Amino acid sequence: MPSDQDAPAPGATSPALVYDGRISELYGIFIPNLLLTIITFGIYRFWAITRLRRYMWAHMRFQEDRFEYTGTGGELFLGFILALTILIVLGMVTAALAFGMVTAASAFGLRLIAAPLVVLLVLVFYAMIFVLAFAAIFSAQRYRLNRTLWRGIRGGMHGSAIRYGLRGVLYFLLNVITLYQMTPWMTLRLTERRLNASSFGNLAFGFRGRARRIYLPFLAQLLVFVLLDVVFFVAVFRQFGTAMLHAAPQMKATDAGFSPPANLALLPFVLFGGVLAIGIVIGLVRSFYVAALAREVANHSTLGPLRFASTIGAWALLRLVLGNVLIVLVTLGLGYPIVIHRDARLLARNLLVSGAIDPETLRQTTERASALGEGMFQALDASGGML
Amino acid sequence: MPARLFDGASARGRAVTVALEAGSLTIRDHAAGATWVWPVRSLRWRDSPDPAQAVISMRRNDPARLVIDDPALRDALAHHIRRGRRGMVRMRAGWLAAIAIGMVFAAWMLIARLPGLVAPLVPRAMQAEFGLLVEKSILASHRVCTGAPGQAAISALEARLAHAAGIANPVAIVVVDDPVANAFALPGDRIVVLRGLIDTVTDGDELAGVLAHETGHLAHRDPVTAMIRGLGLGAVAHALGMGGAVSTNLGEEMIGLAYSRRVEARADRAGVTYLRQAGLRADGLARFFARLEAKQGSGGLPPFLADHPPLAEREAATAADATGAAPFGPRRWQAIRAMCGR
Repeated sequence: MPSDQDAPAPGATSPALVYDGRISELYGIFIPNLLLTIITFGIYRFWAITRLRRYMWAHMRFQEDRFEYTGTGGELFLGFILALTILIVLGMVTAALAFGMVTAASAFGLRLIAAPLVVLLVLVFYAMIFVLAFAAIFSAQRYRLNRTLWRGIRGGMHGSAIRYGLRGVLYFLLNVITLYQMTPWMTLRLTERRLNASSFGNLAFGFRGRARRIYLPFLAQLLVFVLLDVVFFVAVFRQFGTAMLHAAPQMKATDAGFSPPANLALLPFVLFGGVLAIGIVIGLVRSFYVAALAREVANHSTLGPLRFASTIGAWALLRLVLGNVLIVLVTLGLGYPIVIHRDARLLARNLLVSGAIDPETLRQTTERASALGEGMFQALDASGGML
Repeated sequence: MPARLFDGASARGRAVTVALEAGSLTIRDHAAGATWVWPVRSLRWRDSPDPAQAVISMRRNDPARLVIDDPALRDALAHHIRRGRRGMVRMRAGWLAAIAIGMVFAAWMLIARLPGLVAPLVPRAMQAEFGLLVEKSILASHRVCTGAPGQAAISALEARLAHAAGIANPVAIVVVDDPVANAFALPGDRIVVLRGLIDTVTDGDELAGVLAHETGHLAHRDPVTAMIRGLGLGAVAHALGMGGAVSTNLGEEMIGLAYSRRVEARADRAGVTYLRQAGLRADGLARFFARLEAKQGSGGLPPFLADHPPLAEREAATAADATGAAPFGPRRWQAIRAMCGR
C-alpha cells in the first residue's frame, strides 16, 4: 500500500525506481505485437510500441507509486503520417525548385550556374532533414514526458524543438571541424538543453554537466580507435601490399623481397576479422566513456528536491550491452523482451536518488500537452528499437 | 465504499468514498468537503498490474485517477465500464479500420484527383522540358520520318486544330517510323504520331480526327496530369518500399500511360468540336472507330485503344455529319503517306 509517510529521509541515497516486470508477461505482449505488425505490413508498429510502453511504465514504481503511460498508438500513427507528409512536401518542393532552376538557367543559356545551385539546394534540403532529426529527439522526449503520469501528475517540456534542432546541427558542425574533440561537450550541452527544459508537475528538472570531467575517457577511446586502425591497416598493407601490386597487371613490381608473398584470397577474411576485433576492443574501451557520461548526467541532475546519482561502472554497462547483442543475435531478434527487461533492471538498479517528492506540494504542470506523438522521431527511424 | 483519488491537480492522495448512483460515480472527500461526479459512460480502466487494485479515470485525457482496492466495488463497476480490456480491442480494431479507409481515400485523392488540380500549376518551361525529354527517349529508338511536304501538311493541320482548341503555343508534331497504329500527346504541347496510324487510316479525315482527339488531350493538360500521377504513384510505391521498379525510361512510361474513360470521352468530344470550329469534316473520328470496331471482331484492336471506352459508344458520341472541308488535298495526303519514305 502506498503511503506518503515512508519516503526516504533526505540525504540517504537509494534506488529511485523499482522495476517489477516479468519476461513471461513481456512475451505475452511481444508475440501478438510481432504477429500483428507482420500482418499489417508494419502499420501496427505504433500500437505495438504503445502496448510495450504501457507495460514498462506500469511496472516502474517511484516512491511506491506506479507510473502510467497514457500515450496511444493512434497518436503515434498520426504523428508519423504528419512527419512523413512534411518530409515528402520538403522533398517535392526541393525537386520542383531544382527543376525550375535548371529550366530557367537553360532558357538563359546558363547551365553552368545551375549545377552548383542545385547542389546547394540539395545540401539545404539535407540540412533541413538534419535539423528535423535533432528536433525529433527533443519532441520525442516532450511526448514521453507528457504521456507519463504519476499520482495524477504528468510531465512537460517547454521550448522549441526546431531551435534545439538548429543548435544540434551547429554543435555537430563544430564537432566535425574540431575532429570530434567536442563530442563530450556537445553531448552534455544538448542533454542540458533537454533536461533543463523538462519538468514533472510543477517541479523542474535541472542539469549542469562538465565536459572536462569525461574528456579523458573520451580521448582514450578515440586514441585507441585511431591507433588500432592505423596499426591494423599498416600491417595489412605490409602483408598484402606486394601481392596487391603483383595483382595489378600494369604495375609489375620487380622487388618482391619486401615481404613474403601473401595469398590475396585471405584478404577479405583478414579485413573482416580485423574490423570485428577492433570493434570489440573499442566497445570495451568505449564503455568506460559511456559509463562516465551516464554518471556525469545522473550525478548532476535534480528534480525539485530530488538529487540523482549513479554508480554505474564500465563493466556493468559492458556486460549489459554485450549480453544484449548476443541475445539478439542468437535468438534472431526474438530475445528482444529479454533485452528491454535487462535494460529496465539496470536502470532501476543504477539510478539512485536522495531526497523525496512531497506529494502534498507536487502540483499539475501548466505545460500544454503535445497533441501528436514523436512522429518525426518514428519517421526518421531514430528510435533504434521497438520501445 | 472507500478508495483513493488523485484529482489531477495535485499529487496528494485523497481518501474518498465512492457511490454508484443514477448512472454516475459520486466521489466524496469528506475531510475536504469536495465531491466529484463521474458519469459511468465516460469511465475507463487504466493500467494496474496489481491484481488487488483497479485504477479508473474519467475520459481518455483526464489525469485524475481513482484507485480502488475494494474487490466488491471493482466488480460492481466492471458491469458498467464498457471501455475495459475488451473495449480496448474493439477500439483498436476500429482505429485500424478507420486508418485503412483513410489510407484508401488518401491514395485515391493523391492518384485520381490531385494530379488534375496540380497540372495547371506546372510552369510551361517545366512541361516543355519534360515533353522534350520523353520525345527524345522515343526518338532514341525510332527513325523520324522527315518527308518535308508531308511534315508541312500535317503541321499546318495541327496548327488549325490547336488554334481552334485555344492552345497559344505552337504544337510540335513529329511522325516516327513504327508499325503500331498509335499517336500520343506529350507535356509541353507535343504530339508524336506513329507511322502505323497513317498506314491504317483510310483518308485524311480519319487522321484529322485522331489528331483532333490528341489536341483535346493537350487542351485539357491530360499528359501533364498523367505525368504527375505517374510521379505520384512512383513516390507512393517508393514509400511502401516497392520503389525498385520505377522505370527510368520516360518514353516507356509515357507510352504506357492510360487515360480513364472519362478523359478519353472528353478528348473525343473536344476533337469533334475543334474540327467543326476549324471548318473541317468532323465525321472522321467516328468512321475510324466504326472501322476499328469491325476489325475488332477479328481481334485486331490497336493497343492505344485498350483502355478506352467501348468503340461503339465512342463512335456514337463522335457521330457528325459529313459537311465541312477535307483536311488535306490529294497531293498533300499523298505527301503525308509518303513521309516515312517506303
